[in-house]
Amino acid sequence: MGFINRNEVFDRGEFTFFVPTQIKYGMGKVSALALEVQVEDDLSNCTNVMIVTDKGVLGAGLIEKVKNGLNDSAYEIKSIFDEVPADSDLKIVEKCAQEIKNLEINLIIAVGGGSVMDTAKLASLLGTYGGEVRDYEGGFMVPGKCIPIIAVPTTVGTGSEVSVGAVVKDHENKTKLTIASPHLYPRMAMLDPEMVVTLPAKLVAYTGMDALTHAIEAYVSTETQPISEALALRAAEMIYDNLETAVKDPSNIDARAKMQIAAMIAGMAFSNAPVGATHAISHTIGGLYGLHHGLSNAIALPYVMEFNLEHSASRYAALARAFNVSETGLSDIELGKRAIEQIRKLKASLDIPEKYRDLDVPANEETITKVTEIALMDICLAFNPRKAEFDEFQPLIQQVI
Amino acid sequence: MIKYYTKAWQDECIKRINEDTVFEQEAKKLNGTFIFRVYDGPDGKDRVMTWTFKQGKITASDYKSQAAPWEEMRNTAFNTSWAMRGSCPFTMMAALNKGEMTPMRALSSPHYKLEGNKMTLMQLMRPMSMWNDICAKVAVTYEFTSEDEGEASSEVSAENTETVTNVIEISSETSSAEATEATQPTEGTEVAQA
Repeated sequence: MGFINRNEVFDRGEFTFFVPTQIKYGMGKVSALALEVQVEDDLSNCTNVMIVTDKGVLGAGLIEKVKNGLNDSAYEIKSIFDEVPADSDLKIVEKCAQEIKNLEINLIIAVGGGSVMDTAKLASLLGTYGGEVRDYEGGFMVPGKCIPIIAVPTTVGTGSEVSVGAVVKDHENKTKLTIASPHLYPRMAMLDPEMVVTLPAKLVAYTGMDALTHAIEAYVSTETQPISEALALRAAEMIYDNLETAVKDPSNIDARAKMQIAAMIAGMAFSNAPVGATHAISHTIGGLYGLHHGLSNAIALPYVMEFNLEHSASRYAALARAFNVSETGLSDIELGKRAIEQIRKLKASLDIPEKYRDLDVPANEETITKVTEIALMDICLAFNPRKAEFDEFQPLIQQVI
Repeated sequence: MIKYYTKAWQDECIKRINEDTVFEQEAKKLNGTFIFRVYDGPDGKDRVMTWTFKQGKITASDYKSQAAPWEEMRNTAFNTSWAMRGSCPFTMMAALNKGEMTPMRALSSPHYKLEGNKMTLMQLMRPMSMWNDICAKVAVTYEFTSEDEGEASSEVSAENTETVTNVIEISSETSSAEATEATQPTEGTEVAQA
């Protein structure tokens, strides 16, 4: 038995692992965008380009890098759709899709965080097949290939650049819709550390904690398998080692580059070993109260780990090792508790609140009941290592709120 | 009235599925053996139901029941040649079929066990949802003390109250023990029931 992993019985009779996205990494890579795209046979003639982004990315001057990367090439930027809000919405997706149709766009470059990339995915879907986002809600309801997307992440958390799904808010109904399909994987993910150097510290913290949650939940997912395990554990370690530095020292390109890569690796892991209860809670809180997804995950994560501890003790013990816990002679449960402590310390160092009530989520019975009921309906709970009925889940919600 | 989760119910479901041309068209990807174990029926029995699909048509099925707890059936290991096996109490399966519980809720419950490659199953979501839809429309009673004719005591369900007059013939290459089914539908995110 290794020091980190427990060499447990391999009890998965079968599994599938699938990540079709081509990954290109490099400092300044976006400056060579046309070159990197044009060498791909299937993309060489997709010259009607739309850039999907948000005003923050535009204001930071990052779109100029993309434009420069396409200069003097066959690729023509027909439109820059910069209306994606922090928490994208069905109406924005529909507006973007309409523009895609009107301009006969055949290549989308999504430059931004999760909201931008997910908006681009769904706009690509509607731009290809029409209809409404709700028509495709759930798993594997997308009929076929969509307009290809090149994802250029400017945050360090979402993993959407290599993920199977997209989440969008229905602001009218205060819910979040999840659409998952192999046709929603971006065609290419372009990771350029220059694209994350201007990311504000607060967003590095939130999105970095999102990536850490992806890694940990993939690592203990009911659907985890050795490939996702390897990716998830490495991603968790990289994030633990670099997040605080990436937040506090923006000039440390090494830390931010590693965070960008770790977020992508965690995305590959959770696309094949779906996330669990933290995300179920976070989706619910995000839908009801509009909290940033990464922040919401960061708050729930240690509580969910405590909730899952007895079901995932050996996994959390391995995470403790990745989080620099070197004590020997501890049981897996004790090591798991140490891992949770390390996450709480990391959160504190990033000034992330302990509970949702600290962010004005009402801490009353009505809210606790409502959040419990909605979270229990979230697809992510199906992949959590510990299943629960209302009476078991409600105390967890009470704690985290 | 057909009793839920009995041979008569399965036969009626199979008849409707195999006569449904839309389903046949949409469910070409549905292949393999799907097994459902349903525990503690109202008649004191455990049940196991098997459905084998080929290109969207049910080509084999099986149904067995025994007094609960039927330990041998409950302890049978999952075989990876099966597409999936779902296991839960009768009350939960009935709640799913009646639309009182969503598949998502069932999947998060410790009382519902789903075995098989979930990533593959998710790719079969659309035809499985259609399968559930068809089965949920069979008018059934959920309360009975015996599977025999005339023992039902009350009824629930579906818009269609016709009784079964024909039991279709299906090739019976599957003989094994397990059985089941799925229940009703939802918006498409589900694998739990079928």
